[in-house]
Amino acid sequence: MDADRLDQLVATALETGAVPPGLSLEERAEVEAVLNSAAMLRATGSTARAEARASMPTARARFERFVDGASRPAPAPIRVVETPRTRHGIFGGVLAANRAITWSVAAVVLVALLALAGSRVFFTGVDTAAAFSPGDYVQLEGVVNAATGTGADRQIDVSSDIGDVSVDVTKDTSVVDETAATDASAIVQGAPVVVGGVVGNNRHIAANTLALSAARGAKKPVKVAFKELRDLKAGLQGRVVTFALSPDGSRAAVVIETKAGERLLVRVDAKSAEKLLNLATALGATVNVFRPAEGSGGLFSLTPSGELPEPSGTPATSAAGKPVRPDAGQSAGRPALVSVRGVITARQDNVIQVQTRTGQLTVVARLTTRILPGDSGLTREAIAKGESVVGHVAVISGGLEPATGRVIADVIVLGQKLP
Amino acid sequence: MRDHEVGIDDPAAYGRSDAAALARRAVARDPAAWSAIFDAHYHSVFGFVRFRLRGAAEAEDIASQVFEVAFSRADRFDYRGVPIEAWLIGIARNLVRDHVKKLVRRGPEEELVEAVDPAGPDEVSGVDLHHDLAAAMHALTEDQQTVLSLRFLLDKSVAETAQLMERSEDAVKNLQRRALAAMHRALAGSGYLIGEAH
Repeated sequence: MDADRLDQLVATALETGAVPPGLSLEERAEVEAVLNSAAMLRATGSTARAEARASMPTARARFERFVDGASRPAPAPIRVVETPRTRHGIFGGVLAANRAITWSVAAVVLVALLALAGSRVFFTGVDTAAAFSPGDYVQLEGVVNAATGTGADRQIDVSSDIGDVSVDVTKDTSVVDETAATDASAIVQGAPVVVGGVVGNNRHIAANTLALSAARGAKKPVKVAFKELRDLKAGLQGRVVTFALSPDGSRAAVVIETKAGERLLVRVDAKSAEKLLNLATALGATVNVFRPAEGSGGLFSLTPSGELPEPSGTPATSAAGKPVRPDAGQSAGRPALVSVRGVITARQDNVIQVQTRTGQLTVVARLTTRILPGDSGLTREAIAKGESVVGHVAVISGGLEPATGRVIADVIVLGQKLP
Repeated sequence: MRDHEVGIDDPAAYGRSDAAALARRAVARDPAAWSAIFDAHYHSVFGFVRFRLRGAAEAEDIASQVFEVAFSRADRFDYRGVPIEAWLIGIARNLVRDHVKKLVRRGPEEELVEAVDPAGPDEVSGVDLHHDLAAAMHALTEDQQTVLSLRFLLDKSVAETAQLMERSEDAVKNLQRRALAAMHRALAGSGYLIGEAH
């Protein structure tokens, strides 16, 4: 094979995303191989961009401090002033000698605590801070307060049940309305919205998926201080208004609203999270909360009541030329992430084929996608190592790829393997 | 650092003279210029270092260091049509190299493997391609890693990559093909790309 010709063929294939015609078998094999590798790398780039967005505020603050410090004139040399010696007891002497150090340490500790608070605390409440940390995947609903930016890059201020949050929308964000894929220009003030994304610092969320509803005049969530559920003496029921999942999927947290209007943060086990994500819409689901089981590490369990998702159609294109949601018509006028259920029939790298009751769907897993073992009998480790998931039931929630109509998975919950 | 200039490397909006003016302000350590530089290039620098480091926090740290080093050495920046981004990427490459060397000196091999793992299975459950991908990346030469980072993680065109790497476009095309092929071999060696049949 001629190296220059191959270089050019590969460059053309990378440009167009397709194998050029008229290749020998050998050339074709090489071009296909490099296209595969490039696709995997590009998928990784999407994650890096989300992480960069999430980390930028902290890094910027650090750089500003650095520039401010470097721009400040050097302090005047310290003049040592002799003070009369005072007699101290043994401990008094030690304390006196170290007083300056003690104050310095106290100042450093204070600065460190403030820095920690600034970088880790996502929500204002002390209790919620530990449950919603940078890196967590979160689903929340609210109303768009303001949208700034142009093109695919927007910053959206959302009033949600857990307070005001800033949502970063980029070209990697899938934006959907109640029926089809749409674009960022559809995000307007007053629109009800559901956000699925990754928690960053300073109340930022890097949106994987943003679902809109055409309804207007939705009430902004009332700001209610909420408590963390510590003890449960009797049965408790509530409606899920926010859901969060740790990066490894081993722990989750929900904010529920009780009938009395109280909001409670409930830390739940992985099984409960999976049950919740198995529903057509986790947000808005009514759940019963049960006491932590032995060995659960104090995590409560949930039993949700809700319907399992069923796609109503096969991939199609709307009159506006946008891909139609496979679950169109199921959200009852509310914004909702795309949710489908089916059996995995094939997997190639990060693309899986899912056979639903009404047709075949293509689902793309990104690096930000959380895959939960559910009732599959598989472990997280086995899945991470590439254990076959073909034949397993899967419930997928996420968005749509505007160009292709493929489902972009935020979360995949695996179920039993069918015979 | 309150004045922002966005898109400073966008030739449509800013000509070469604007870039030169910004570079002059950067050399003079003008905070507003550095604020603009940070906003314009943080994502690229983060993306460039991310794949070679243990996690996002480490990438954030190194990316921050890149700007601190650049600011500290601003007076040494020689603007002669060389994009600021190329200078920053060069600093990033050196910092990552030093960082990985420190890890090699410090400890067992697992730590090095961990250092180039963008996100281990503990961090992102079930995403089964990145571990092998990171390991495969580690098996490449530094130039190969750089070309793949620029082309596919940062979405740079062949022409932009050539400029940033100070190579010809043909050389970049050759390097990218060899790098992708090497990556494919490494992944196939681990059985990864074989995957499951349709």
